[in-house]
Amino acid sequence: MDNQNQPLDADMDPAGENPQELIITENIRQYWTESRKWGLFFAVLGFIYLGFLLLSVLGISSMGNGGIFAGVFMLLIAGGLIFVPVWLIFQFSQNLKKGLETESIEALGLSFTSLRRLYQFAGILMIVILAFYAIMFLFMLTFMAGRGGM
Amino acid sequence: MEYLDQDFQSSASQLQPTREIRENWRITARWGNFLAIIGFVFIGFGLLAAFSLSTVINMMSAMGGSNPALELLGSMGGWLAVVVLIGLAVQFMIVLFQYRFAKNLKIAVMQTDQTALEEAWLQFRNLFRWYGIMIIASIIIGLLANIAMYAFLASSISQ
Repeated sequence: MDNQNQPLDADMDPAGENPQELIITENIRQYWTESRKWGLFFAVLGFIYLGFLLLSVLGISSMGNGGIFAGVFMLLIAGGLIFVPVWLIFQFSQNLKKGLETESIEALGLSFTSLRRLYQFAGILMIVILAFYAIMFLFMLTFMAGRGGM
Repeated sequence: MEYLDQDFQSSASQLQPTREIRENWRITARWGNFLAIIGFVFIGFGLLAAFSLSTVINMMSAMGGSNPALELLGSMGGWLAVVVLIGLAVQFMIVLFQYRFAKNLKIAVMQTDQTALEEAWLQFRNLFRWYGIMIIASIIIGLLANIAMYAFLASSISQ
Protein backbone atom coordinates (compact mmCIF):
# COMPACT_ATOMS: atom_id res chain seq x y z
CA MET A 1 0.00 0.00 0.00
CA ASP A 2 2.80 2.40 0.90
CA ASN A 3 4.62 2.20 -2.40
CA GLN A 4 1.37 2.93 -4.22
CA ASN A 5 1.04 6.18 -2.31
CA GLN A 6 4.40 7.41 -3.47
CA PRO A 7 3.67 8.49 -7.07
CA LEU A 8 0.28 9.80 -5.95
CA ASP A 9 1.95 12.16 -3.51
CA ALA A 10 4.39 13.30 -6.14
CA ASP A 11 1.58 14.16 -8.53
CA MET A 12 -0.75 15.70 -6.04
CA ASP A 13 1.25 18.33 -4.26
CA PRO A 14 4.51 19.14 -5.94
CA ALA A 15 4.98 22.13 -3.64
CA GLY A 16 4.36 20.02 -0.57
CA GLU A 17 1.04 21.63 0.30
CA ASN A 18 -2.31 21.50 -1.47
CA PRO A 19 -3.61 24.90 -2.47
CA GLN A 20 -7.10 23.50 -2.36
CA GLU A 21 -8.77 20.26 -1.43
CA LEU A 22 -11.48 18.33 -3.20
CA ILE A 23 -14.84 18.78 -1.55
CA ILE A 24 -18.06 16.83 -1.76
CA THR A 25 -20.47 19.42 -3.08
CA GLU A 26 -24.26 19.32 -3.10
CA ASN A 27 -24.19 18.26 -6.78
CA ILE A 28 -21.96 15.31 -6.02
CA ARG A 29 -24.23 14.30 -3.15
CA GLN A 30 -27.18 14.27 -5.55
CA TYR A 31 -25.28 12.17 -8.10
CA TRP A 32 -24.24 9.75 -5.38
CA THR A 33 -27.76 9.51 -4.00
CA GLU A 34 -29.16 8.54 -7.37
CA SER A 35 -26.24 6.22 -8.12
CA ARG A 36 -26.62 4.35 -4.83
CA LYS A 37 -30.35 3.85 -5.49
CA TRP A 38 -29.58 2.28 -8.85
CA GLY A 39 -26.82 0.30 -7.17
CA LEU A 40 -29.29 -1.08 -4.65
CA PHE A 41 -31.62 -1.98 -7.54
CA PHE A 42 -28.82 -3.90 -9.29
CA ALA A 43 -27.91 -5.64 -6.03
CA VAL A 44 -31.52 -6.70 -5.35
CA LEU A 45 -31.86 -8.00 -8.92
CA GLY A 46 -28.59 -9.86 -8.46
CA PHE A 47 -29.77 -11.45 -5.22
CA ILE A 48 -33.05 -12.50 -6.85
CA TYR A 49 -31.06 -14.00 -9.72
CA LEU A 50 -28.85 -15.85 -7.25
CA GLY A 51 -31.99 -17.18 -5.57
CA PHE A 52 -33.21 -18.58 -8.88
CA LEU A 53 -29.77 -20.05 -9.50
CA LEU A 54 -29.85 -21.76 -6.10
CA LEU A 55 -33.29 -23.21 -6.86
CA SER A 56 -32.15 -24.58 -10.22
CA VAL A 57 -29.01 -26.00 -8.61
CA LEU A 58 -31.20 -27.79 -6.06
CA GLY A 59 -33.30 -29.10 -8.95
CA ILE A 60 -30.26 -30.40 -10.82
CA SER A 61 -28.76 -31.90 -7.66
CA SER A 62 -31.86 -33.99 -7.10
CA MET A 63 -31.10 -35.86 -10.34
CA GLY A 64 -28.52 -38.11 -8.68
CA ASN A 65 -24.74 -38.23 -8.41
CA GLY A 66 -23.88 -36.50 -11.67
CA GLY A 67 -26.48 -33.91 -10.82
CA ILE A 68 -24.87 -33.14 -7.48
CA PHE A 69 -21.49 -32.69 -9.12
CA ALA A 70 -22.93 -30.43 -11.82
CA GLY A 71 -24.90 -28.51 -9.22
CA VAL A 72 -21.91 -27.85 -6.98
CA PHE A 73 -19.81 -26.88 -9.99
CA MET A 74 -22.47 -24.45 -11.18
CA LEU A 75 -22.88 -23.00 -7.70
CA LEU A 76 -19.15 -22.45 -7.30
CA ILE A 77 -18.44 -20.93 -10.72
CA ALA A 78 -21.62 -19.04 -11.59
CA GLY A 79 -22.57 -18.32 -7.99
CA GLY A 80 -19.15 -16.98 -7.14
CA LEU A 81 -18.85 -14.92 -10.29
CA ILE A 82 -22.24 -13.34 -9.71
CA PHE A 83 -22.17 -13.12 -5.94
CA VAL A 84 -18.92 -11.16 -5.64
CA PRO A 85 -19.94 -8.14 -7.78
CA VAL A 86 -23.48 -8.19 -6.41
CA TRP A 87 -22.19 -8.15 -2.85
CA LEU A 88 -19.68 -5.38 -3.64
CA ILE A 89 -22.32 -3.20 -5.27
CA PHE A 90 -24.60 -3.80 -2.28
CA GLN A 91 -21.84 -2.76 0.11
CA PHE A 92 -21.07 0.27 -2.04
CA SER A 93 -24.69 1.37 -2.01
CA GLN A 94 -25.29 0.77 1.70
CA ASN A 95 -22.12 2.49 2.85
CA LEU A 96 -22.66 5.43 0.52
CA LYS A 97 -26.12 5.88 1.99
CA LYS A 98 -24.77 5.66 5.53
CA GLY A 99 -21.92 8.02 4.71
CA LEU A 100 -24.18 10.68 3.23
CA GLU A 101 -26.84 10.43 5.90
CA THR A 102 -24.55 10.46 8.91
CA GLU A 103 -21.76 12.59 7.39
CA SER A 104 -19.41 9.72 8.09
CA ILE A 105 -16.17 9.78 6.16
CA GLU A 106 -15.39 6.24 7.32
CA ALA A 107 -18.56 4.90 5.72
CA LEU A 108 -17.70 6.77 2.53
CA GLY A 109 -14.25 5.21 2.66
CA LEU A 110 -15.77 1.73 2.95
CA SER A 111 -18.12 2.54 0.10
CA PHE A 112 -15.36 3.57 -2.28
CA THR A 113 -13.23 0.61 -1.25
CA SER A 114 -16.12 -1.58 -2.41
CA LEU A 115 -16.39 0.37 -5.65
CA ARG A 116 -12.64 -0.04 -6.27
CA ARG A 117 -12.91 -3.77 -5.62
CA LEU A 118 -15.87 -3.97 -8.00
CA TYR A 119 -13.85 -2.33 -10.75
CA GLN A 120 -10.83 -4.51 -10.00
CA PHE A 121 -13.01 -7.61 -10.11
CA ALA A 122 -14.58 -6.58 -13.42
CA GLY A 123 -11.19 -5.71 -14.88
CA ILE A 124 -9.53 -8.96 -13.85
CA LEU A 125 -12.54 -10.94 -15.06
CA MET A 126 -12.24 -9.12 -18.38
CA ILE A 127 -8.55 -10.04 -18.62
CA VAL A 128 -9.42 -13.69 -17.93
CA ILE A 129 -12.15 -13.64 -20.60
CA LEU A 130 -9.78 -12.04 -23.12
CA ALA A 131 -7.10 -14.64 -22.35
CA PHE A 132 -9.71 -17.35 -22.83
CA TYR A 133 -10.68 -15.87 -26.20
CA ALA A 134 -7.02 -15.66 -27.21
CA ILE A 135 -6.47 -19.32 -26.32
CA MET A 136 -9.59 -20.35 -28.25
CA PHE A 137 -8.40 -18.33 -31.22
CA LEU A 138 -4.95 -19.93 -31.16
CA PHE A 139 -6.54 -23.35 -30.80
CA MET A 140 -8.75 -22.66 -33.81
CA LEU A 141 -5.78 -21.42 -35.85
CA THR A 142 -3.70 -24.53 -35.14
CA PHE A 143 -6.72 -26.71 -35.88
CA MET A 144 -7.26 -25.02 -39.23
CA ALA A 145 -3.54 -25.11 -40.03
CA GLY A 146 -3.55 -28.84 -39.21
CA ARG A 147 -6.46 -29.46 -41.58
CA GLY A 148 -4.83 -27.37 -44.31
CA GLY A 149 -1.62 -29.39 -44.01
CA MET A 150 -3.34 -32.71 -44.53
CA MET B 1 -9.37 7.35 11.26
CA GLU B 2 -5.84 8.74 11.17
CA TYR B 3 -6.73 10.91 8.21
CA LEU B 4 -9.54 12.69 9.99
CA ASP B 5 -7.29 15.23 11.67
CA GLN B 6 -6.13 16.38 8.26
CA ASP B 7 -9.59 17.75 7.58
CA PHE B 8 -9.30 20.53 10.04
CA GLN B 9 -12.36 22.45 8.86
CA SER B 10 -14.42 20.26 11.16
CA SER B 11 -16.85 23.08 11.95
CA ALA B 12 -18.43 22.83 8.51
CA SER B 13 -20.55 19.82 7.59
CA GLN B 14 -18.47 19.59 4.41
CA LEU B 15 -17.20 16.10 3.70
CA GLN B 16 -13.72 15.89 2.28
CA PRO B 17 -12.30 12.80 0.60
CA THR B 18 -9.44 11.35 2.57
CA ARG B 19 -6.17 10.24 1.09
CA GLU B 20 -7.39 6.66 1.27
CA ILE B 21 -10.54 7.53 -0.67
CA ARG B 22 -8.50 9.35 -3.30
CA GLU B 23 -6.25 6.34 -3.66
CA ASN B 24 -9.34 4.16 -4.14
CA TRP B 25 -10.64 6.59 -6.75
CA ARG B 26 -7.32 6.56 -8.58
CA ILE B 27 -7.35 2.76 -8.87
CA THR B 28 -11.05 2.79 -9.80
CA ALA B 29 -10.33 5.28 -12.58
CA ARG B 30 -7.50 3.14 -13.95
CA TRP B 31 -9.64 -0.01 -14.14
CA GLY B 32 -12.58 1.99 -15.47
CA ASN B 33 -10.43 3.31 -18.26
CA PHE B 34 -9.27 -0.20 -19.12
CA LEU B 35 -12.84 -1.53 -19.12
CA ALA B 36 -14.02 1.36 -21.30
CA ILE B 37 -11.31 0.80 -23.91
CA ILE B 38 -12.10 -2.93 -24.07
CA GLY B 39 -15.76 -1.96 -24.36
CA PHE B 40 -15.07 0.27 -27.36
CA VAL B 41 -13.14 -2.54 -29.05
CA PHE B 42 -16.00 -4.99 -28.45
CA ILE B 43 -18.52 -2.52 -29.89
CA GLY B 44 -16.32 -2.24 -32.99
CA PHE B 45 -16.37 -6.03 -33.34
CA GLY B 46 -20.13 -5.99 -32.81
CA LEU B 47 -20.58 -3.49 -35.64
CA LEU B 48 -18.43 -5.61 -37.94
CA ALA B 49 -20.39 -8.72 -37.03
CA ALA B 50 -23.73 -6.98 -37.56
CA PHE B 51 -22.77 -5.79 -41.04
CA SER B 52 -21.22 -9.07 -42.11
CA LEU B 53 -24.23 -11.00 -40.78
CA SER B 54 -26.68 -8.93 -42.80
CA THR B 55 -24.62 -9.28 -45.98
CA VAL B 56 -24.29 -13.04 -45.41
CA ILE B 57 -28.06 -13.37 -44.96
CA ASN B 58 -28.67 -11.30 -48.08
CA MET B 59 -26.18 -13.36 -50.11
CA MET B 60 -27.60 -16.67 -48.91
CA SER B 61 -31.18 -15.65 -49.63
CA ALA B 62 -30.08 -14.38 -53.04
CA MET B 63 -28.33 -17.68 -53.87
CA GLY B 64 -30.55 -20.50 -52.69
CA GLY B 65 -34.22 -19.80 -53.33
CA SER B 66 -36.54 -22.17 -51.56
CA ASN B 67 -35.31 -22.50 -47.99
CA PRO B 68 -38.17 -21.17 -45.81
CA ALA B 69 -35.93 -20.54 -42.79
CA LEU B 70 -33.62 -18.43 -44.92
CA GLU B 71 -36.53 -16.54 -46.41
CA LEU B 72 -37.80 -15.79 -42.93
CA LEU B 73 -34.31 -14.63 -41.90
CA GLY B 74 -34.03 -12.51 -45.03
CA SER B 75 -37.35 -10.82 -44.43
CA MET B 76 -36.41 -10.23 -40.81
CA GLY B 77 -32.89 -9.15 -41.77
CA GLY B 78 -33.69 -5.47 -41.88
CA TRP B 79 -35.41 -5.50 -38.49
CA LEU B 80 -32.66 -7.64 -37.03
CA ALA B 81 -30.06 -5.10 -38.16
CA VAL B 82 -32.06 -2.24 -36.63
CA VAL B 83 -32.40 -4.06 -33.30
CA VAL B 84 -28.70 -4.93 -33.24
CA LEU B 85 -27.72 -1.34 -34.09
CA ILE B 86 -29.95 0.09 -31.35
CA GLY B 87 -28.44 -2.36 -28.87
CA LEU B 88 -24.93 -1.38 -29.94
CA ALA B 89 -25.79 2.33 -29.68
CA VAL B 90 -27.00 1.89 -26.09
CA GLN B 91 -23.87 -0.11 -25.31
CA PHE B 92 -21.77 2.64 -26.83
CA MET B 93 -23.37 5.29 -24.61
CA ILE B 94 -22.75 3.16 -21.53
CA VAL B 95 -19.11 2.62 -22.44
CA LEU B 96 -18.76 6.34 -23.21
CA PHE B 97 -20.06 7.23 -19.72
CA GLN B 98 -17.63 4.74 -18.26
CA TYR B 99 -14.77 6.32 -20.18
CA ARG B 100 -15.70 9.88 -19.19
CA PHE B 101 -16.13 8.83 -15.56
CA ALA B 102 -12.69 7.24 -15.49
CA LYS B 103 -11.00 10.11 -17.31
CA ASN B 104 -12.50 12.83 -15.13
CA LEU B 105 -11.96 10.93 -11.90
CA LYS B 106 -8.30 10.49 -12.78
CA ILE B 107 -7.92 14.20 -13.55
CA ALA B 108 -9.77 15.12 -10.35
CA VAL B 109 -7.51 13.01 -8.15
CA MET B 110 -4.25 13.78 -9.90
CA GLN B 111 -4.74 17.54 -10.27
CA THR B 112 -7.15 18.18 -7.37
CA ASP B 113 -9.65 19.45 -9.91
CA GLN B 114 -13.08 20.10 -8.41
CA THR B 115 -14.87 20.53 -11.78
CA ALA B 116 -13.53 17.22 -13.01
CA LEU B 117 -14.70 15.57 -9.79
CA GLU B 118 -18.27 16.78 -10.29
CA GLU B 119 -18.17 15.77 -13.96
CA ALA B 120 -16.87 12.32 -13.02
CA TRP B 121 -19.72 11.58 -10.62
CA LEU B 122 -22.26 13.01 -13.05
CA GLN B 123 -20.99 10.52 -15.64
CA PHE B 124 -21.05 7.77 -13.02
CA ARG B 125 -24.70 8.52 -12.29
CA ASN B 126 -25.43 8.48 -16.04
CA LEU B 127 -23.66 5.13 -16.29
CA PHE B 128 -25.79 3.59 -13.53
CA ARG B 129 -28.96 5.23 -14.83
CA TRP B 130 -28.46 3.85 -18.36
CA TYR B 131 -27.55 0.43 -17.02
CA GLY B 132 -30.70 0.46 -14.91
CA ILE B 133 -32.95 1.55 -17.77
CA MET B 134 -31.33 -1.02 -20.07
CA ILE B 135 -31.90 -3.79 -17.51
CA ILE B 136 -35.54 -2.78 -16.94
CA ALA B 137 -36.11 -2.58 -20.70
CA SER B 138 -34.56 -5.99 -21.33
CA ILE B 139 -36.62 -7.57 -18.53
CA ILE B 140 -39.81 -6.11 -20.04
CA ILE B 141 -38.83 -7.18 -23.57
CA GLY B 142 -37.98 -10.66 -22.28
CA LEU B 143 -41.33 -10.98 -20.52
CA LEU B 144 -43.21 -9.75 -23.60
CA ALA B 145 -41.30 -12.14 -25.84
CA ASN B 146 -42.16 -15.03 -23.51
CA ILE B 147 -45.83 -14.07 -23.41
CA ALA B 148 -45.90 -13.73 -27.21
CA MET B 149 -44.22 -17.11 -27.61
CA TYR B 150 -46.64 -18.89 -25.28
CA ALA B 151 -49.62 -17.19 -26.94
CA PHE B 152 -48.31 -18.31 -30.34
CA LEU B 153 -47.76 -21.88 -29.10
CA ALA B 154 -51.18 -22.00 -27.46
CA SER B 155 -52.91 -20.75 -30.59
CA SER B 156 -51.01 -23.20 -32.81
CA ILE B 157 -51.88 -26.12 -30.48
CA SER B 158 -55.57 -25.25 -30.33
CA GLN B 159 -55.86 -25.17 -34.11
